[in-house]
Amino acid sequence: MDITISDFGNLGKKVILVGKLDIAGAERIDLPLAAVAGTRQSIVVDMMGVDFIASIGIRHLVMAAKAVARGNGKFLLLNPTPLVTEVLKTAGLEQLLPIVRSEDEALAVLAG
Amino acid sequence: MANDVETRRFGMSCSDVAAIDDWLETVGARWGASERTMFGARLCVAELAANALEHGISRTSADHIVVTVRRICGGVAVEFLDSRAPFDPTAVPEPDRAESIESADPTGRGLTLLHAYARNLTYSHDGIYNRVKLMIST
Repeated sequence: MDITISDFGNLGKKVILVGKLDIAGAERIDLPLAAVAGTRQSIVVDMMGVDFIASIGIRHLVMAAKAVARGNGKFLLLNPTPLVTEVLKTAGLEQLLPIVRSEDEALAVLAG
Repeated sequence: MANDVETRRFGMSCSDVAAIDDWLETVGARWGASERTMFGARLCVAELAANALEHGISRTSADHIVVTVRRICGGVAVEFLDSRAPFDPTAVPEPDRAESIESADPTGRGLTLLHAYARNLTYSHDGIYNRVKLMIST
């Protein structure tokens, strides 16, 4: 699992995840994701490159989203694959971790 | 389908759990199994393995996991064994769903996913192993 963090315009941060968000992947993103979430800015997580997710990976996304929410920021998932989307929906996260399908849609949500 | 059964023994560590998933991906590719079917099998095994690793009570320093996958008509059958203290994942109630991110518990979704993806989920304990059997339908 690779994680890259950059600015998302002036609206927050963009986190790009690539690889498996399994037990090993979750361990790799733990500190950097917690650090960026701790700034309580809005975060857009680019999930396009995540080809597998398990509950331990979901746990880290929810923890980050909770930290961002404490600062009234928004936490969006950008374009997860169909199989990953199905896992997120099955886990009951459709409303808690909103999914957007393009950067323009993310910008509109964050600006709104 | 004479060769379409594979079994492997793993240790009980984070890297072992990751190795199980790598192995399942390799097996699925060798079989030419559908991505969706193998994704479901990998997810169920990942949840069982993480559960054993994180919550299972260790009974020996030689704790281990044995995974068997079998290609069957209509999907993949999985048998998952772990040597930790008896724990029945089929008997755990579904957690309540949170209505907001503020009230959401970050944990507790693994068994929800297991129950959603697995068919014919059964548990037994044979005195040595927790033995979970399940099927993933194509």
